[in-house]
Amino acid sequence: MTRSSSPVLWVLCVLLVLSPALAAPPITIPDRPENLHFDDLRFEIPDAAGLRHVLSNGVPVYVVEDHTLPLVDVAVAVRSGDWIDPPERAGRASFTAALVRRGGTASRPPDDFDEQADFLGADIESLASATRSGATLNVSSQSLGEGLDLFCEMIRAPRFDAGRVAAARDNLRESLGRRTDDSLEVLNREWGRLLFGPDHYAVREVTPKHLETLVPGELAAFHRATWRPDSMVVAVSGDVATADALARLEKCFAGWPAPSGPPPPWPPPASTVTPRPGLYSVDREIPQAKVLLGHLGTKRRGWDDPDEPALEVMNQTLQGRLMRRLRVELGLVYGVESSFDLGLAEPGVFRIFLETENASAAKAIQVAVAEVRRLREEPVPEPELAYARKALVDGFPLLFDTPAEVAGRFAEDEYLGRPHTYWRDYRDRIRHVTPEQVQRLAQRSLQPDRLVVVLVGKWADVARGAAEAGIRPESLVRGPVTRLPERDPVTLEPR
Amino acid sequence: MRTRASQTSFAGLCAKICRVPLAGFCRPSVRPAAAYLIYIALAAIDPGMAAPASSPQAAARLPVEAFELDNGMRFLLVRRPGVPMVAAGWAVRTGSGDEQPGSTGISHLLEHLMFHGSRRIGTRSPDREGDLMARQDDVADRLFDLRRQPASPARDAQIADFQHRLEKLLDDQRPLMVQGELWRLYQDQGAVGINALTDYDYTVYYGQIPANKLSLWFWLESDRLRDPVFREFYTEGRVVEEERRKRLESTPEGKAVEQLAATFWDGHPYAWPTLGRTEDLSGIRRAQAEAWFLARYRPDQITAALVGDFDPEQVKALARSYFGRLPRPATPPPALASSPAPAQTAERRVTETCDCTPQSRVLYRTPAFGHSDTYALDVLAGVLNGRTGRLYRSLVLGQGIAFAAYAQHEPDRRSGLFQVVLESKGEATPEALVGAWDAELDRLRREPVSGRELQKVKNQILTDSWRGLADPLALALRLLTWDARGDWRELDRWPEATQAITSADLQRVVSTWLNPQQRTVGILNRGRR
Repeated sequence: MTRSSSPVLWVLCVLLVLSPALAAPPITIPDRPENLHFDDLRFEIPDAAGLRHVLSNGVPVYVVEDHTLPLVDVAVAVRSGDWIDPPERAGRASFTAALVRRGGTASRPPDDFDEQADFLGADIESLASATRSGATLNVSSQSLGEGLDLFCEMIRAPRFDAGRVAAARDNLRESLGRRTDDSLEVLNREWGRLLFGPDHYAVREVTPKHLETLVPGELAAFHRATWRPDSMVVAVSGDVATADALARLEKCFAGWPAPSGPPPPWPPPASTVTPRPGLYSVDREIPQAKVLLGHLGTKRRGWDDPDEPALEVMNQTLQGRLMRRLRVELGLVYGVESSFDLGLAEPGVFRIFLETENASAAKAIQVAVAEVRRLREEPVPEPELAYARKALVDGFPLLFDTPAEVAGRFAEDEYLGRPHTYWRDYRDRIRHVTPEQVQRLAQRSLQPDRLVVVLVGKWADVARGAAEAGIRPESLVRGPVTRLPERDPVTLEPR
Repeated sequence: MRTRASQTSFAGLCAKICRVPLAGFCRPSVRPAAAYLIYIALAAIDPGMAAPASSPQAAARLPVEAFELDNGMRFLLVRRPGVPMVAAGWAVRTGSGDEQPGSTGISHLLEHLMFHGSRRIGTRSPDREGDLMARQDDVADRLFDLRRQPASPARDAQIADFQHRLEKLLDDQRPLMVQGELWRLYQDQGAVGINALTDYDYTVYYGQIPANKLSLWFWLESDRLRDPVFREFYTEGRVVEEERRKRLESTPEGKAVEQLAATFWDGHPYAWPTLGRTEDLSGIRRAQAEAWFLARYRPDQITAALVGDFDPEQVKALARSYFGRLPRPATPPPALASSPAPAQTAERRVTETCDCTPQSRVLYRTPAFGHSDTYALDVLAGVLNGRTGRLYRSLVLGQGIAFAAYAQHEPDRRSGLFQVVLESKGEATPEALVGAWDAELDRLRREPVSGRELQKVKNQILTDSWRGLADPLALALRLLTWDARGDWRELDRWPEATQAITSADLQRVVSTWLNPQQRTVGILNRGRR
C-alpha cells in the first residue's frame, strides 16, 4: 500500500459560510437593466510571441502554463487530411489518423499501449478532418513523462498492427450500412454534394471499393509522407513549467527527420463545381423537415480582409433576426442557425439551418429568404448593428478562456498562416463596422438568386402546408424543384 | 436513456468557432467527469497492491465558498481569476419527476415560459397585457372543452369561431409586448450561451456573462423569479412541440427509446420523457403553469453557482440585494413524490423497430444519488468501459459481434439506472449480444476483478475528476445538478469513496443490483430496410 501526499500545494479548505457575510457597500437596484452601470471590460489577449518556442528540428511549440489543475494538455497538428487523397483513395487520411491511436507503436503492441495509457488515466486521441490531422494528450502532471513517452512514440512510430487494422476496417464496413439512418446526416450529405460536387475531398465518402485499399502498408506509407516534423505545430498547456515542457518535447522529437519527399500541397484545392440553384428534397417519413439553405461564398483576401469583420457583424445580425422572426414571433422553430465563412483557399459557405414541422417548412423557408433579402435592401439600423458589434466584442474573451484554448488558438494561427495580430486587432475591426459597409457587403455576398435549398422531410405534408399558406414551392427560390433519390447507404448510389 | 430538454440560445460567437481550436476538433467528451481542486492524500486501497509511482494518488477538493440567504436560497462560488467571464446559473429542485400523468411536460414548458419576461421585461404595458391574457385564457378554456366534445359541424364551427377570437386577442397583445427582450438584453451585452435545461429532478438556467456585467445577471434572474409573466403561452407550445420532434420523433432511436423507458420505469415518475407526452402537452393551461411555478420555484428550493472572475464579497452583496427580495416561503416545500419500485419478479422484454442499428439495451434499477452503492456501480461501469474495458475488449475486439458496447450509470434523486448498450455488428442479433453480456456479468459474479484492473479504473476516475474542472461552465453546471440531485458535497466525497471500492464491493453490487429477474431488455430491430 502506498500513501503519497500531493505534489501540488493548494488552499486547503472548503469554506462554508451559512450566514450572509459582513457589511458590503449598499447596492441600489435600478428599475430597468439598461440603467445598470458597467465598468469597462479589461481583457488583453496573452502575448503570443512570448509563448512561442522552437524545437531544434524547427517545430514551433506554444506553451501556456497554468497550475490550477494537475493536468497537462498537449495537442499536435500536422498537415495531413482528406484533401491529399485522390478520389479512388477516399478515407485514407482519416483511417490513418484513427489507426495511429488504435494500432499500437513500434515498441508496444496495441493491447499494451492501450493498457498503459488507461492505467495512467491518460486520454490520448488521434484524429483527422478534411484539412488537418493530429493527436491530443491529456494526462495528470504526475504522469506527464510516461504519457508523453506513449504519445510521442505513437506520433512518430505507429505500428498499424494488422489485427487492429482489420478490426477497424470491419467496423468501418459495418458503419457504411448506417449512413442513411439519421436524417441530418442525409441532409448534410446532399447539401455537400450539391454545393461542392460528390468528388470534393470534404464531401466524398468511403464505399466498399475503398475498403480494400486500407491496409497496414498503405497507412504506414501515408503516415510517413504526411505526419512529418516539418509541417507540425504543438500546443502545450497546464501544469508544467515551460522549460520542462520544451526539454521533454525536444527529447520526444529529436532525431526525427522529415521525409525526403515534398510535403503535401497546401492549401487544399478549390472545388470546380458551380452549384445549381433550386429547391431539392429527400422524402422521408419524419414529422419534422430539416432544411439547409445558402450558397457558396467568397475566398478570403488575406487575414486582414476588410470584409471579414463586416461579415461577422452581418451574420450576427441575421442570426438574431432569424431567431426573432422564426422562433419568437412565429413559433415555427426550436432553433435556427446562420453562418457565413470565408474560405481559406476556396469559396466559403453561407448557410442557414432550420428544423420545423413539415407543414411549416415552406413558410419558414419563405421567411428566411425574406430576411436574406432585407439585409440587401435596407441598411441595418445603427442601434441594431451596435448591439451585434457589442455582442461580438464582449463575447471575445471566451475564445481564450482556458489555457488549452490560448495555446491551441496560437498554434492554429501558425498552422493556417494566420498572423497573431489577427486576434489583437479583432475587436477594433468589429467596432468599426458601419451599416453602409454591411449593406454593401450584403448586396455583394448574399445572392438570393443563387440559393440552394435542401429539405429532408415528408414532402406530401410540406406541399400541403405550402398550399394552405398560399405558397408555391416553385416560387420559394429561383431554379427548379427537384426530388432527390434516397441512396443506398453502402454504395451511396441512388436506389 | 433520457432526453434532456433545453432552450436554445441566440447562438453567438461560439457556435462558429471551435472551442478548443487545435486540440478539440469540437469533439464531445466521452465520460462524465467530476471536478476537484485541492489535494488530499489518498491511500491506494487494495492491501498489497502497490500502485506504481506514476499513478495519480491525490484526489482534490473544490475550493467552494457556500452561503445561504435568509430566504433559504443557496449560493456556491468558485473564483477563477483571469479571463473576465463568469459562468453563472441557478437550479431549482423540480423537474419532470414531480409531474403527474396527464400533465407531463409541464416542467419543461415552464422552463420555456421563463424566457418570456416579467412584469418589467418583455412588456410595454403589463396591466393591459394582463387583461388580454385573462381573456385569452377564457377563450382557450372554451376551446379546450369544445375539443373534448364529439365532432359535429356545429362544434367545428364553434371551434373555428373561438380559434379566431383567440388569434385576435393574441394579435391585440403583440403591440404591447417586447418579444425576446430577455434574450436580447443578455446577448447585447456579450453574454453567451444563455440557456436552460430540464431533467427528472431539476431545472437549471445558465449562461456565461462578461465579468463587468455580472449585475445584469443578478438583475434579470432575480426579476424573472420574482414575477414572471407567461406571455406567448399559446405559441410557445408550438416551439416545445418542435423541440420534441427534433429530439425524439425524428431521430433514429428516439421513439423506440421512449417506449423502452416507459416500460422500464413503469409506475415511476421517470417513465415519461422530460419533453412530456404529446397528448399531455396540448392540454396544459396557463393557470397550471403559474400554479406550478408558485409551488415549486421557491428560494429554499434554489441553488445558484458562479464560477469565474469575480470578487466574492461583491457577489455576496449582489446576492443579498437582488435575490434577497424573494420572500421566504411560509409553508414547507412540496414533498418528494414517493416512488415505490413496483415489485418485479421476471425480466421484461420490449421489442421495437427503428431506423437504427440493431441493438440491445439492458436496464437495471439502481439506488438513488448519494446511496453508498453508487460508488461501486461507477467503478463497475469503469471496468466495463473504455478501450481496455471488458465490453470493448470482449464484444468488439475479441468476438467481433458488437460495433460498440458501453455501460452507463446514472443515479438520480429518486432512483438510479444502470444501462448497457450493445450495438450489433454483422450477423450478430441483438439477442446474441444480450447473451454475451450475460457471460460478462457471470464472469463478474464469479471472479474478483484483479487489483491492477481495479487500480486502472480508479486512476481513470481520479484523472477524469480533474478534467471536469477545466471548463468554468461545466463546473458550474456540475455543482448545480449534483446539488439538485442531493448535495454538491458529493463532488468531494465521490473521488475518495470510489478509491475505496474493493473487488468484493463490485461483486456485491453486481449481485444486489444487476439481477436478471429485475431487468428490462430492449431489443431494437431495424425497421425501414
